[in-house]
Amino acid sequence: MNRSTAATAPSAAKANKSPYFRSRWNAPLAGYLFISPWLIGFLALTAYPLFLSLYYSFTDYTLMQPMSWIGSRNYERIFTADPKFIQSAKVTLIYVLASVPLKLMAALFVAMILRKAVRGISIYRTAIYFPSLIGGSIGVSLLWRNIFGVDGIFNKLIGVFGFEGKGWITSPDTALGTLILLTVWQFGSTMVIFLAGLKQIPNDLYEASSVDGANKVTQFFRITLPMLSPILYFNLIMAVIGAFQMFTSAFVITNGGPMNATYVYALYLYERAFSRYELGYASALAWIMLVGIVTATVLISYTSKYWVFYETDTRGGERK
Amino acid sequence: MLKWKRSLTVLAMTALLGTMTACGGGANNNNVEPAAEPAGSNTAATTAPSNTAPSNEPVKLRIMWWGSQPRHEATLAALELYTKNNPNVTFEPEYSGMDGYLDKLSTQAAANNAPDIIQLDPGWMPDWMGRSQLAELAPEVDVSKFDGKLLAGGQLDGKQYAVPLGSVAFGMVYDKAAMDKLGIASPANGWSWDDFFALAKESKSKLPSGQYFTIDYAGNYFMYSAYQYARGKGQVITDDGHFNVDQATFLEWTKKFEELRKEGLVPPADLNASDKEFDPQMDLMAAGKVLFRYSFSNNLGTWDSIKPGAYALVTMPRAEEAGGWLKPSMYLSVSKNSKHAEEAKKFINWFVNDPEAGNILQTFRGLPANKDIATSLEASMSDLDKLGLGLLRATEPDGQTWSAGAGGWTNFIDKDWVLVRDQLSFGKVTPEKAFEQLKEASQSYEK
Repeated sequence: MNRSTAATAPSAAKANKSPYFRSRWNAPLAGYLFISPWLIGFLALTAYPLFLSLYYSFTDYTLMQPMSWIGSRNYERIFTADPKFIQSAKVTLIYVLASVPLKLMAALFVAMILRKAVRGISIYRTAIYFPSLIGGSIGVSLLWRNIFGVDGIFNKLIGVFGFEGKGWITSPDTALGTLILLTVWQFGSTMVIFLAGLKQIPNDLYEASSVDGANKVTQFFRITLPMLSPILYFNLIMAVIGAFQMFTSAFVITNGGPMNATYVYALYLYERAFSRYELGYASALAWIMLVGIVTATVLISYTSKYWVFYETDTRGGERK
Repeated sequence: MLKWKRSLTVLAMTALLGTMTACGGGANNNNVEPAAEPAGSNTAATTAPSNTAPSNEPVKLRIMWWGSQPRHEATLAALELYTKNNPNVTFEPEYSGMDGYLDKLSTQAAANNAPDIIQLDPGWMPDWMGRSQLAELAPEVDVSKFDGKLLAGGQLDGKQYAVPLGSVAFGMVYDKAAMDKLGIASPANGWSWDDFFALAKESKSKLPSGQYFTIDYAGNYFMYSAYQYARGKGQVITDDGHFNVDQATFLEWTKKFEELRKEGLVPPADLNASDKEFDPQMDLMAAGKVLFRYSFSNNLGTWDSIKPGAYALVTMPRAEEAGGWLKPSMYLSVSKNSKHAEEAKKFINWFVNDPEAGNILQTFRGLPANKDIATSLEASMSDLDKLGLGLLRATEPDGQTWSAGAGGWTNFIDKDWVLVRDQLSFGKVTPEKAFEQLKEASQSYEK
């Protein structure tokens, strides 16, 4: 009896650990050595600065001046006595809420068109993807400024049809809109992912449904969208994260103006960090943005079980 | 199928992690050297500090300035000459327009990666010296031939951190050719603000649609400063760092512009906000949309290169006191972190004191602050330079005393005033509200 318990105990303990768990921790050192370049890069260039900025956010660190620990005072100031924080957070939220759905819709729409096998389709795909390659650059921002300026091409174009133009970029009501348009125009990579997803949808589904008499609209909502929902989920998260960090075009095209209409959060953060050198305060702003992005992502993930459908998944989605 | 769709979730998480880097990294550039640091300065950084200088070791100096094309060309020619005389010294110039210059420089400085030699605006000097970002220039740079008033802006606690490159007068430039054509009389030096506003009203019937008298300066920091000076109410921000906008004067000024706005004598707000000084298309005067704008005496060459022979200068209008002033155009200094400070100072000494250099650089940075060089240039000046000098001489006798002002207010001028400028021009705030707003914004800058 004694002998048998002694003999079985270790094996029972072993059995409790899943094979997955065991292999993970007994992985040979060689494996870690192979990933060490990435690991070192991650620790030194990502993890270390990340936590250092968390530390700075509790200090009054200003460049070239002695630093001291001030607890949560930066955060208190941001939330209670900083109108620019509220203004820039508001602009950023509007921007995220407007640009993300528009961009996804544009990308999906174009992907649906490009899905068809037409002669020379790869040329169209390349041409449509092209703006995304150059999209985030300063050059395009400058181009945008000229297109939508007072004497820009856009005004000349609508002038032909008898409409009177205005300074789209320099008017407070339309400035953010032109920046959103620029973002929407850069739908290329989102579109490519949609395209890949669309090609994964088996054709039998469409054939079967058309036999049952489903029209195109029904097919789109009953087949395409549910089958595409995991990809939509991914693209949504990517677009939201990207939109929160929007900086280049607001900096180059409008520099936050006119009347702070395009004063996005990242621009305010930049101003605090690099024109006022208040890195402690800027770090606190950065962490608030991070928490904001994480919250948005978690919210989306949470709702995903109600609308994201996995083909082989019988837990969520349409239970059969 | 399942696997790769699931892996999208993993990808999304990775992307989220990427964001964290983006936020964290942004605020920490001083700890992580940017990858884009030029190779030249890296190799040089490993050599020993060149305190025991005049070696023939190859040295590469980074130098940064802003300006227009003629200034770029002259400066590059001077650098070339210096390399010819000192073959071991080569340069890595970084030059651009004024747009974004301070942003770029500040970001580099925050990353401990400022150029060795930096051109700075007088208004930034208190900040840069106060933060100990500059190296002392004595004894390598000889300033014995410089005007003491101009030197003062580059001094802190009796030490010289920057040399003035020239002196300029703050006045106005106007489109003389267009005004002659429209039959509007040209102003004369010494004119008053009353003359200015009277001329505006008078021009109303003569201006075709789409053309305006002047830019909407209601919320312009520099123009309002000139007006407040002229009314004898002193600086807008005092030397010891206090908000000093005189309420009555501010209301008077903004209401006069409100009238101009109602009469269509200043451009509509969206056009006004699109103005970009010196840009051939976007500068409202260069584009033929306004007649008057403010200018420094050394800028005439730039306007002239856009539309030769069209423009002329006049003093800033006055009231009880003069409206304009003389000021140092810009300063040249050496970054405190420069690995080649000695070579950089040697170069600056040559740049500001050598007659040959002076001859190349002409007056592209204002009338040189070195008196000997200024005198020698005056003898052979072009007509254009003489017009600039004319404004300088007309402003000199009773001009306001320029001061670099208090440190730490740059952002107030660049952001808070600009917001008020737009709000006034779009008619979103009353002059009274604009004043309150400026006053409120100033509180976060008060010492």
